[in-house]
Amino acid sequence: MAEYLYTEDHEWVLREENRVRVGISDFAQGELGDIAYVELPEIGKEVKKGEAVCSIDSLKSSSEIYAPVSGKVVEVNEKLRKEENCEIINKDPLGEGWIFVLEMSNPEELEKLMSEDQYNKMVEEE
Amino acid sequence: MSYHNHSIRDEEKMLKFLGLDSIDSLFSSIPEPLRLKDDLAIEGPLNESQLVSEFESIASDVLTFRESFKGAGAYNHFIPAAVDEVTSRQEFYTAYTPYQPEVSQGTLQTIFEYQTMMCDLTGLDVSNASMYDGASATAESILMAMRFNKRKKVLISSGLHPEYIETVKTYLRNTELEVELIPLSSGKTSMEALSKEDPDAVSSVVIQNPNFFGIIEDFEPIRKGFPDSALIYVTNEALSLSVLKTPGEYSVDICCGDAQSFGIPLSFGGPYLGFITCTSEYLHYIPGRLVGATYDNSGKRAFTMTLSAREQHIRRERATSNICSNHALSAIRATVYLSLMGNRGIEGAALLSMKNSHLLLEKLSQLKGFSPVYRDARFFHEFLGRLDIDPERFNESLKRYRILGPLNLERFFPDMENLYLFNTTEMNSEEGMNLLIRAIEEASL
Repeated sequence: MAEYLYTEDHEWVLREENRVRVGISDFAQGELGDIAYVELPEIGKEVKKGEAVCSIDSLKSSSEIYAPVSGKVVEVNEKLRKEENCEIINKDPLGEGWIFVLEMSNPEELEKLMSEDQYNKMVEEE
Repeated sequence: MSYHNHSIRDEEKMLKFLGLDSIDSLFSSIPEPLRLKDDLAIEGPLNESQLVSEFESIASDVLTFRESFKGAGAYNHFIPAAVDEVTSRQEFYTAYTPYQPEVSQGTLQTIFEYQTMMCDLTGLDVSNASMYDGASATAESILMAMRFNKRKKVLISSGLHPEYIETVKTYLRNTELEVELIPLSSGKTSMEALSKEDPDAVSSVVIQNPNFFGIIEDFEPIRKGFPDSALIYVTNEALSLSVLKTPGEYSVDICCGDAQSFGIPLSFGGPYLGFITCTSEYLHYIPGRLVGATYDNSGKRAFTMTLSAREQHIRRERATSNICSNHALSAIRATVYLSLMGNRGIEGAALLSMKNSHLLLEKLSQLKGFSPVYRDARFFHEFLGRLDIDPERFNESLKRYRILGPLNLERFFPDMENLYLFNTTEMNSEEGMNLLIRAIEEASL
């Protein structure tokens, strides 16, 4: 069974062969509050691990989503183009609320990410 | 508005807090030769009644005009006395959006009403809380389009006010945007020149309406020719929106410009009132503040700043622009003006302005020294004409009749020395027109 991996910037990653689906963690959505708008990346955009891919706005904040691994954006969650749908990130951050899919250029980078247990521990300590 | 002066003791306290020994030391960063060393050459002190007569005597030497025929982005419209009365209330008298804005529900409501009226007038979905002036609003609209479609080329009609063009070029100097000016043909943006452009490369097409020469532009063919570019409708005569087809009806994406005509007096070029409205598609790309209506925790209707995450205090260097306030006092004046005039009032003022300029053109056309420039063009309340006159004699006569004459275009275009831009509003009279005509006759060659 596929398992969620996490970054220190609170993104999650789910591997699908040579691709990864990316979203924000349940902890992150709780901290941000009601998501009002997602500025989705363009399909084809190439990013290096750690670079900003797109941004996500709540009513009072704007945060960037960083690339958990290097690669190319091949899919975005079209539902999020409609503002009234953005609440799916709050309701189902790990499922329906995914944000984009990257085609990895260096899958070895996945090894540097945290497991769910490690991530939960980090969040507790914060 | 209340005003509290500070006493010598207050000054001493503040200096002590700052660790300074004199007020002069506050100005130590100003180079010595630039500092004022002597008192201003003003006689005095005078008592109040002496002071009043002194000012009256100065005022009597200032030439005030009974009528103006100069427009070009600054229009002399009637302002109901209640506009001054209402806007000078202490609660409203601020130049900017207040800090901790939600405490000032009244100010937020006037901004909300302003936005609603600007949306109605332009036929678009979203209005921001206002901008500095028409020129900066135009530049911001172009940047907005660039953020939206990520394209790099801007086509600007030569019918855009020359000062707006200059401002836009300054604004865009350090961006990747490339500006191309589209020439006019018979006074309107040249469709032939536009048709040579590759629409897929164009971020925005910027057209002023009525254009700088007063002529009403055709938006339909431009919209058709550039279906995926941002079509930006600029106007510096917001009153025209009440009688012309709305930007929304032309399916433009962004409308911007100056709303000085809405209750803001002419005063050495400012303060004016920039505005931007757009379709909801562009909502997240609009600069500046937005006020929304909502409900408070007891269910009462309330007003609040909204979508602030676009702005500089939250998004920092990724903000939609560095505009972080609005032109609150001017926007309030516009709100009060529009509420007092109503639909019929502004339509009436617009139609009368238009009627007057058509009457003036008719009168001028009978003069030997006058020839119209674009005979067949449809115009709003401004038109271009050639005057074969001695400009110095013309100015002497105008001064004698206390008439502010038409704008000599040589100021903007060195090759247009005999061309004048004539404007009338509802404030012009047939008597004034006859004085203008007499001044032209007296200066005829």
